Amino acid sequence: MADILPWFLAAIPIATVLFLMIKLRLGGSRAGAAGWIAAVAIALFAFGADIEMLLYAQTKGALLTLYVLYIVWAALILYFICAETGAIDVIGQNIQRLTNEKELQLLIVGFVFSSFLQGVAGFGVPIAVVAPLLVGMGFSPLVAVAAPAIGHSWSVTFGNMATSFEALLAVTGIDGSVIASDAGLMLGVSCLLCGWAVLMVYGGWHSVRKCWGSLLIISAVMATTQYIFATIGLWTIAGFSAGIAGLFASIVVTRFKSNGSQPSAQITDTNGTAKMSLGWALAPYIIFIIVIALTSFVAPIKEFLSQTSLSLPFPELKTSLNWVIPAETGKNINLFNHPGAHLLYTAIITFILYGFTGFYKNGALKTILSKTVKSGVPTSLGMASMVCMAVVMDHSGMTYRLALGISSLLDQAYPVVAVAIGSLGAFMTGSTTNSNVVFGIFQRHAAEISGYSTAVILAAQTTGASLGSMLAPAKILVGCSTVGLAGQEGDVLAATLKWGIYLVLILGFGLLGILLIDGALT
Amino acid sequence: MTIFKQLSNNSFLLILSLILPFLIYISMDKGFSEISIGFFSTQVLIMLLLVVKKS
Repeated sequence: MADILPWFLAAIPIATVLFLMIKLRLGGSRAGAAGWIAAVAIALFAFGADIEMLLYAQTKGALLTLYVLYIVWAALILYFICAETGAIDVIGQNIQRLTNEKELQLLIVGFVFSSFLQGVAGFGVPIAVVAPLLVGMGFSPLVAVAAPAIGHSWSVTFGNMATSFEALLAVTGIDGSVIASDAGLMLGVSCLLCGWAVLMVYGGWHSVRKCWGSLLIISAVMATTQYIFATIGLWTIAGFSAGIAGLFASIVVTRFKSNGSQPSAQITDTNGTAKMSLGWALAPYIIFIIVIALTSFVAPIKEFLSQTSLSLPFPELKTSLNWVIPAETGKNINLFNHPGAHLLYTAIITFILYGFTGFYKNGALKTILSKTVKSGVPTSLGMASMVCMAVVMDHSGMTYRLALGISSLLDQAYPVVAVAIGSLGAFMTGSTTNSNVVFGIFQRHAAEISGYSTAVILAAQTTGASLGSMLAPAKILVGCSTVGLAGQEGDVLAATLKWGIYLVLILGFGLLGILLIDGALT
Repeated sequence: MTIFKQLSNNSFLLILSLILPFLIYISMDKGFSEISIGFFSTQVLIMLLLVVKKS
């Protein structure tokens, strides 16, 4: 009983957020605030946190929030800069011209394109960019947010320069080549599962039956590419390469599929804006890729932009229950070489380009800014409270206690637990990297105790964390804000939660089965 | 009622939510822990306001 109570208490803030968002359909800002209050009260009265810890946790949470909001606001500005010219509609219409099969359209944009974006950019960008595109193509806002949230999650570990993977290596001290192969395999299976779940979200088994061949080919190409790059030591570009390979595979698949069938030519202009060619409509995304390439691969530019950053030193913090958070600098915000900065450069260049070309009406800038503020504020409020809640839970040892409880319940089935704990971390913190940082060492110790291979369990951790990123309320808030679903995030969360749990269980039990058959259990 | 409405404006609450933690940090850093507790209490009030207000 003494062990169950702390676990039960540690689960209350998460349960509060889920109950308020999914059951009572409250918006993220109200649910997040309630979760934060619960976390602070429980940390203070049951987990031995003192006021100093809570105060510093709040500042660390604010730094983390600013890191995320930089991306969210820049993505929103870029989106409205594009939407104001009708570019989003044009892209959607042209994908409809590639194929008239809605399932394949969803697969290409919600699965492949979002995975590609995860390869080049970080937190929330795939959802923020793809969700409005899908709405422009005629998908419901719920599907438009849920599809990229699920579709890109498999590529998070090796996407964005493999920062999540590097973080796991850093905290566990294990060489990347030891884990890369297992992680590449598990993420490859997850790739197929995510594509399958995207189709299931849209039209259930009917959609899967219509599109299973394309799904198999595209996911096999992406998974194999990522595996090869990861295992030859090039894991920093494994996600990016997989995304590129997926886009080429998609074009080939649509060529085969369109043989004999006539893609729809009847495209309606939804907002009557100036006529724009596909080249102009795609210009922001091409500019974005160029910006990312320049700021990531050209060393002088990277060094020049990385000179200014915002970070704060924090002292060691300790609860009365001896849970210690070492002295550290909080989240480092690189002001000019941050994913948000990349989006902002793209937005500015795009605005100037479209402005000179005459795509804007008078007063467009005012409209863009007012729409950005209207979408961004409620989302940002929810994000601020949820991120701070996650930091309070982490600093008071609640998140660790929660993981410990799950693992003690199912120690014989630890691979399932390892995947679930990775997901829990990503759900809580909204970040696969943070999940790997928080639970990396824990998973390593647990693997040693349970007798499973450390490499397999750490691969399960990062795979679970990748899949868990689709459940992160903060990411859902980002997507909802771009498609006018702000305040109704619970519906989307309910959809992604269901599929996230399915995928985690399928992967976890599949892994357990393979390990048991293989005799890995000592 | 008007003051309550203005105070519960989302933009205002967001700016406060993002500024207060840094004021907390500065006052802790300068050794004014009582002031930092005051800022933290304001943060708690903002969260309570967010829970009760309709979006």
